[in-house]
Amino acid sequence: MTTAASHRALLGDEAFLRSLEQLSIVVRRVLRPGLNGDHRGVARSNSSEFADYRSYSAGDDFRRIDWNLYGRLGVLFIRLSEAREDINVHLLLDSSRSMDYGEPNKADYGKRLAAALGYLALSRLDTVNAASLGFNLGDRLATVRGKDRVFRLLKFLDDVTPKGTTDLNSAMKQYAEAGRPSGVVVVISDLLSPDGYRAGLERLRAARLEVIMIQILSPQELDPTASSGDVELIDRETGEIVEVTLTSGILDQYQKRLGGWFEEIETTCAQLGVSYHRIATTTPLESAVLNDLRNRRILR
Amino acid sequence: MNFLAPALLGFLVLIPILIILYLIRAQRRRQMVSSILLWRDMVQDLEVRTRLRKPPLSILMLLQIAALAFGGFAIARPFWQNEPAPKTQVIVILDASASMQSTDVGQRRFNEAQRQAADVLGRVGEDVAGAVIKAGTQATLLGYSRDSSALLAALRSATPTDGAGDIATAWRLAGSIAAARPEAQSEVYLFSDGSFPATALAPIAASSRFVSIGSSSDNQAITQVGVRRPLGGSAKPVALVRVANYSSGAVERRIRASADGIQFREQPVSFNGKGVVDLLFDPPVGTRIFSAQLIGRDVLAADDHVDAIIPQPAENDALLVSPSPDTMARALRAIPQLSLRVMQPQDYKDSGSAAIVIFDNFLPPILPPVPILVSNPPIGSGLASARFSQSGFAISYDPESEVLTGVDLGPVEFGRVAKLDVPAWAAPIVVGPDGPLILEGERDGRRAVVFGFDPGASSLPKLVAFPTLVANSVEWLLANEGGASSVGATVRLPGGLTGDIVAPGGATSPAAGQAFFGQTDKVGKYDVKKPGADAATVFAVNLVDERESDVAPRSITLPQRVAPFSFPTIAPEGHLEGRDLWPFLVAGVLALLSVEWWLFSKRGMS
Repeated sequence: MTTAASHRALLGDEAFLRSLEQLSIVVRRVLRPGLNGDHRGVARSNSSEFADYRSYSAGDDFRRIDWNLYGRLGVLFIRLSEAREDINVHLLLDSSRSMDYGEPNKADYGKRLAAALGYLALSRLDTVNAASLGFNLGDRLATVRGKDRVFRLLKFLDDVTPKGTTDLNSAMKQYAEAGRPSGVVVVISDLLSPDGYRAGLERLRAARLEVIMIQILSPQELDPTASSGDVELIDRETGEIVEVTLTSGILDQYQKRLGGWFEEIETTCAQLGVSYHRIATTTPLESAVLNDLRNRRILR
Repeated sequence: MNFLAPALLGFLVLIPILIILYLIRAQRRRQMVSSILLWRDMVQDLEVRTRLRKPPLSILMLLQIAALAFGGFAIARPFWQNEPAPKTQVIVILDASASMQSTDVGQRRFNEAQRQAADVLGRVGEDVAGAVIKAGTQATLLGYSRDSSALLAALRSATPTDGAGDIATAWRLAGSIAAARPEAQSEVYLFSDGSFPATALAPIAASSRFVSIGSSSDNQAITQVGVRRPLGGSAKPVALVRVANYSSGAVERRIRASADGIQFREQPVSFNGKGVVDLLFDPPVGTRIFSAQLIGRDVLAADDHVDAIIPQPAENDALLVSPSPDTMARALRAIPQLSLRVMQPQDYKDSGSAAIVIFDNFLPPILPPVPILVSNPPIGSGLASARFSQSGFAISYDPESEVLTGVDLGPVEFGRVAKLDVPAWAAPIVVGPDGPLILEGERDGRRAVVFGFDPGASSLPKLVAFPTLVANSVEWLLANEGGASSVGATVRLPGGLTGDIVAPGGATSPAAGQAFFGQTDKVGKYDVKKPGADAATVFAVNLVDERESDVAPRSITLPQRVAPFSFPTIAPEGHLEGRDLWPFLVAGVLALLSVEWWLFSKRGMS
């Protein structure tokens, strides 16, 4: 497979791309003024997309007066439209070794998901930034905009190699402090970070970034019942070994532990105003993007 | 259900061992996980349990335990008894050695033993099982049953043999049968004249009784016979016969000597009590089979006759392959009845019609299928790996070797000798300070002699030892042997035999390709019969066993009974009134292991 073909493979087939072009990332926060993007903001603006009317005030732009309404009612109204603003989409992809695990592989799935989200953002004339997260902030992609820059994004994602240990707090903190413009941060990670992720999320939120957390887990992590007996579990990141006997009781205990962990993540994200969604790598990417993320109001 | 080998139930101890292994710690499978984060809390609890944890009730463990249980029961040989176990076992051992053919009890001692054994076996019935063991040249279980008529039939079918009885094995066999049923009272009856070493009987787990058969020692026997033809065949053969009197009184007998069945001499023999007489006979030139027969009656006829084969002079072709053959050729040409052909190494292709090949300072990569004499093998030929710089001399030799008969190697300087690599088929018969000097052995059933020195470079050709050594070697290599063998001995067959070997009883065995023959359990002449040709005798077997000929009945003190647990047990195959269950258990083990393997591989794949 050529390099270009390899990059292209991250995106999926043409039908999927056409579907992506119909979607956009839902932004719940007020966007920055600037070049008109393709997003409707929460604030009203004077663009052509009608939103509402308000009474004329001194200083208003005469061009926005609705003369037809004045003719019928004899009152000056200013025609309001929704802001059509661009957003900055920040794709933060966990590149620790824990991501290089599972069948299907979490890192591959994360790259494809990031590529899909990046593509739909570029299709909406949004700016896209990308970075890999490891023990620290890893490689970064300079801001790209426009669909014709999609291959720069794809090359960046393709070159991300899972390595090292994870410290999401440190990596997200470094990203927040790098002076990035506000926008939407999509964090794609398995969240298997020994020191947690809360502090990092708080720093991103403090930087006025809308945060979407997408957790990717493999079926082997969600349901390890295929294993049994005496095993030495080797941590893919640290090489640390724990010995455990996988009995049905232990596996039940694991499931409880896993459920508790999910609950903790959901609570944390809710407290911080972070959109959270969990995806198993067995879920087809098309289904995850076109159905699950839309259902969760992460995409629209 | 009962067990033929209950001691082997100890194998079941492997089950608790298996469980302990599960309890303690198994070899853990290494499994990569993305993170141990989610396992860590649980592992803290588990780490305590892994020291001595509750065995996981995995299906694999249960299958393994079941397989061990089935296997443990299987090797203990369980059987389902249709009838209750016998309370008593009567085990009869019949001495079937040659001395039991003595007729001092009105009939043959063996027949008397059969009669008395039949009385003992009359007890066999519902609660009493019986066994009959024949101690011939081999120990044989003739029957084990609660049916007395079947046992008596087996008893009557037995016949004595011409050799020594294997009492020791028969005794152990009886002990094993007794130990197989420790719950039964076992009684062993040994019917014998005691013509076996008392040390043959080891303690067994049964009460035992020795029933002495025989009453007389009035026997004279030919106990040795030997024939010799001097090399060359020019002299008349000679035969040495030793006769012995085993009775305590003086006896007058006559002995008749025959050559190929024709009497050529008869003479009286006067014995003192327990006396021995050596006699020398000179059969006519050309005699093939020498026979001697004691005339008159004694209690054992089997030892009154011997046959011996006289080695025949034959013209043999020899091939000498040597780059400088003079020295060796001179010694070979001095051997009568040997026709010598000399050849340079480059002309050698194969041995052709030669009966023997002498390789001097040369060795082909493929050795011919005939006896060979190798002199000074080249370095790297497989027989020699180096050559010592100093002159070698002999420091020890094998006095039993026929190759060295009459050879004095003491004053010989061998020159630079080769460092011989002793092949597996050879043994050193002369050793110098640096290793073997002369080897002899049998390579693929054909003899070979190796001189690790060059005779031409040694002082040997100047000594009389050299032609003697070469002549001895050639004679030994050609194996022109005669004489006779004793019952049960293994006989070396001359090469090139075809057809069948016909034993005195008429039993035949193929001779082609056989280097040895061991079925010599009958006294008499063994012939080779080729299709469409007259039979030719190849060897003779005689009793010539002083212990068997000394027919005086001996009293034997039997060993004390001991506990049964120290004995291996043996099932009297085919004579149980029950059904062996081990095949079903073994089938169960295989099925369980198959399921266990299938489950394991299924989990491994998933």
